[in-house]
Amino acid sequence: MTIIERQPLAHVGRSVPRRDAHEKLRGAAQFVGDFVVPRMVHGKVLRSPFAHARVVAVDASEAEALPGVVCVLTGDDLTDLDPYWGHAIKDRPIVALDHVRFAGEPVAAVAAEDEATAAAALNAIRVEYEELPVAGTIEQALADDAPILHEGPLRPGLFHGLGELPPREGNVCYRYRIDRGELESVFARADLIVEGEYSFPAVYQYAMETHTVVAQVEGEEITVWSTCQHPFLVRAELADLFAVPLASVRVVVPYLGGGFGSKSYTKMEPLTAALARKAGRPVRIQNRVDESMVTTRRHGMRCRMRTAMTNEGNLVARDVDCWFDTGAYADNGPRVTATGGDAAPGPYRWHAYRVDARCVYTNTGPAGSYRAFGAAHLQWIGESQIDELARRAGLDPLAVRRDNLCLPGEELRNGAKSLDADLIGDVEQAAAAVGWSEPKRANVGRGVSVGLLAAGAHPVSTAIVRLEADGQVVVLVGTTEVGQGPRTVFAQIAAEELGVDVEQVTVRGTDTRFTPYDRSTGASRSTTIAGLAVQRAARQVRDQLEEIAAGDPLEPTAYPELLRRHFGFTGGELIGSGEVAPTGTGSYAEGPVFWEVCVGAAEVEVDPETGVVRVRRTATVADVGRAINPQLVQRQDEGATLQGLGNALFEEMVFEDGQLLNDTLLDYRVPSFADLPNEMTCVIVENEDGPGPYGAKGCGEGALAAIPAAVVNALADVGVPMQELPLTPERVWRRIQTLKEEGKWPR
Amino acid sequence: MDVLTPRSLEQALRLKAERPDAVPIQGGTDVMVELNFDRARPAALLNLNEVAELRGWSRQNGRVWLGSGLTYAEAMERPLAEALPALAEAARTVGGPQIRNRGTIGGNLGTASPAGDALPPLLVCGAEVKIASVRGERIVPLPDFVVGPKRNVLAEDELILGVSVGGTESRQTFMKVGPRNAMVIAVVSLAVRVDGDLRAAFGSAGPVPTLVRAGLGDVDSFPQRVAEAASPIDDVRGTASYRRHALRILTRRALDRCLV
Ligand SMILES: Cc1cc2nc3c(=O)[nH]c(=O)nc-3n(C[C@H](O)[C@H](O)[C@H](O)COP(=O)(O)OP(=O)(O)OC[C@H]3O[C@@H](n4cnc5c(N)ncnc54)[C@H](O)[C@@H]3O)c2cc1C
Repeated sequence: MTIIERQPLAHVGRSVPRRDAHEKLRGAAQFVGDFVVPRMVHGKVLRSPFAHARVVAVDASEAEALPGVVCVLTGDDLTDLDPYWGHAIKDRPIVALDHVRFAGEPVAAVAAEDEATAAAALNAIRVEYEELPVAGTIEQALADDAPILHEGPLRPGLFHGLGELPPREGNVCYRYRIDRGELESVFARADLIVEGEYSFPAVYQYAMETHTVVAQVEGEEITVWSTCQHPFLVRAELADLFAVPLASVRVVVPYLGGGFGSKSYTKMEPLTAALARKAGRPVRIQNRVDESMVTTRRHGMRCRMRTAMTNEGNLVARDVDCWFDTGAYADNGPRVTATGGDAAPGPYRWHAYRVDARCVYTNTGPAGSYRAFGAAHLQWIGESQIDELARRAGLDPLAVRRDNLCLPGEELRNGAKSLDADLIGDVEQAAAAVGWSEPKRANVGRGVSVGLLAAGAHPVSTAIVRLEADGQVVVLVGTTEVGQGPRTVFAQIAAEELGVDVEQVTVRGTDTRFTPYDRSTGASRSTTIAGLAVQRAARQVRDQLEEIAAGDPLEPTAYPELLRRHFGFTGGELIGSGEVAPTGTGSYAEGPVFWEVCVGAAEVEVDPETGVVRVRRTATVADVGRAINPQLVQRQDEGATLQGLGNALFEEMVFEDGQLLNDTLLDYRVPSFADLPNEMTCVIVENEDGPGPYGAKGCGEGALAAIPAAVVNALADVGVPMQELPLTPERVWRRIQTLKEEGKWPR
Repeated sequence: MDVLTPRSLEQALRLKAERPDAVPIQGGTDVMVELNFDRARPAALLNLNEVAELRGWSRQNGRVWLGSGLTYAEAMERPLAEALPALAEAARTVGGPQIRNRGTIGGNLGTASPAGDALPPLLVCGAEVKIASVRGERIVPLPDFVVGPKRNVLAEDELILGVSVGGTESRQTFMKVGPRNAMVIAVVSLAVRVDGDLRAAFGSAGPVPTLVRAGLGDVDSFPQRVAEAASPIDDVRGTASYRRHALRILTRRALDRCLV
């Protein structure tokens, strides 16, 4: 490890309290659901009860005649538009036209004076359906006689970022392939090969706040107040859909009550805006939890993988086939599939590897982004195969990683950014934190896992910093405060650059009418990229101050005086702008901006009689380059750890013929504080090797890929290898019964 | 919708007789879920929260009287928790703090869910349900009170006053298996009491919570008998065969705990 001489910094590196803590604890913080717009009415959505059907007729006349109903939107109202949207593939109509492809798909929407009237009106809409055969699972969707969900060629959306879209093959809407080296001959020469089939469940991101949108349409002017993570991408999609200039669309985003990817890209905005357009009044639509569960979810996945190693412990080859269940519409499926494909080999030095990842349409709710997507899907599989190889060779799993992991600066894949982290150091710290070399009692096991996530998305962000006449600083930046703390971090950065107190800096939510462009809030990018834009903007202000001071020392308390001198009266402000844009060719594929480290360790105890798995210790590594606010970094890893334990142990959306069976929080369980491990460690690693301000790089997702993988490996260490998540008591118990029959339990 | 709020038991019974369609509501943790999901649209609610006679608990001739308005939070407090430890353990596993502050024993009986967590501990303690209407009172042993999944013997003018239980200070315990540590509808739940004989009652493993009894000499075969008494189903929470297996394991462990 290199010893780095640190410049002393005043605010960066300190766990300053969250800037929004006070407001949120008092219940004063405003969320979209709190907004009341003059003349606003309430929208409710009629959703298809069938997973796959033709819509023969929709009759809304009775509903429209009810007192208090303003209007009912159906497919017939969209004839003046190209009604299809989707940022990756334009495959989704605003409301169903003549075909519903999942149970829960919007078929009509009502606007009424109050919610109860809107709900009552839904019952008065008559829809005639003609049921079609259902492809409810990946297997059904890939069968030779499978119903085809989308006919004709696929139209690329505005933000697919994936080069040429390959043609649709049946229900496969996207395919991502990598092929390196002489795969078959390397496998043929290998000493040890592990192979298996794996299944990964669909889960719901479960943000406490459901999707909520208020939309107002006046002529060409469209305003939406929305629970969205990417306001500028939503703006562009709405402008495209309603064929108006970008500047006519205004997206306002206050605080969000959690997102985890469930609010990335466009969700309920087109439907709400179309309803408001017809109503001629602002409309609010707020999903219930069961509605949000069919609005977006994580991709379930099937995978076949094999990995080869020599007797000495050299990893040589990996072969991966996987199928991502994207539901009825692509949403972010193509990107999830590509990122999953990239994560599949893991950060090892292979002689050959092959990945073939497909994104498959099924008759279920659409799947999109979820924290650590791609890596979360594949890391647990690849890492469990490495552990199995290590066991067969009689080697320590940690030693196998030490010998095979790529080193800082090493190339990970052709043309991509080389490794910008010390993975061996990271995994050793994680292992130590769960007592790797301590003796274990019966039924206790330990596991580690290592992976990487291509992070940063497309590196385009801008920020504006305003120094007001009274010395206060306002930062305008398009990052969404989802709970992860960017408003605090940006205040720290601006305060650092300008020498003011953090309390003097204000960072508010996004209003695309005034806030400069930022691509998105996701892919762990905000501190790194938007943070860099804030730093550059603040530096511009500082440069101007230096010029005005003309050699006098810059004293923050004297800023008002300097401004007065400059403008000749009390008023005026200094404005700095900062921009981050891709360097080189700027291709997204060439990226990533940085590799997010996904390293974790776990210690579990299994109760073999019931199959109950208890997690005793966990460790995650936040390899963040530079922790601008260490406490926020830790909270990110802790949140992701708890979420990862839910993913590993009990979260699963259960579908039958395309119908979601567990659509309430009584049956779909998310972790509570009672599910915390006895000991949870977050190790912060600061090697200042990130591309962001002060050497920072993003975090917050890695642990969600690392923890389930570490738990699976820890359970395999007890003797119970699992190829299907979640690790429910029943599933684990059944596995133990099979192992008993095979004479493999107890080991 | 009308909300009727009687101030005394007498008033409550009269209102229930006049408006048999009025749905009684105590904590509302089941009733409000039904309303919010639009699964029920009652014409009236009978709010029992102001009826003092339904609240609290008392000792009566060696038995304990639990008013139908007794909350889970109250059941967790000493000295009641010492008198009925299995009920207290069950109460601790119900919902989160908000649900435990509002949810009541009477509501759990009213709902009569196969997964109702208060029911197995009450069953092993020989609970008798006291029911009243303007026509008079009657006492129904708990096994006869619940007649099917979410069905009980209440007539439309009747209210639950509370339950009388025995078996206080006996050895008893409650356990459940679920994938999550708290706030979960169990895959199976179980109460066991050892006091002169062996008693086990389980939830989530049949259409109604069920009581199984055996002599003290049958300790070894009891877990198997409990498992065989169950008639579980396959659903999103678990399969029948796992439920039966888990009951056997839990019964053995519960006996171990009670017999030390
Ligand atoms: C988030 C959540 C978690 C939960 N977790 C659990 C759990 O872990 N275990 C569990 O067992 N339950 C659980 N429940 C269900 C519920 O909390 C319990 O069943 C509780 O005991 C109901 O009590 P209550 O007073 O709220 O009933 P209410 O909702 O007021 O009433 C329930 C039913 O009983 C009837 N009723 C109420 N009082 C009377 C009376 N005096 N006479 C006649 N009928 C009456 C009502 O009409 C209604 O049909 C949970 C509920 C929620 C919302």
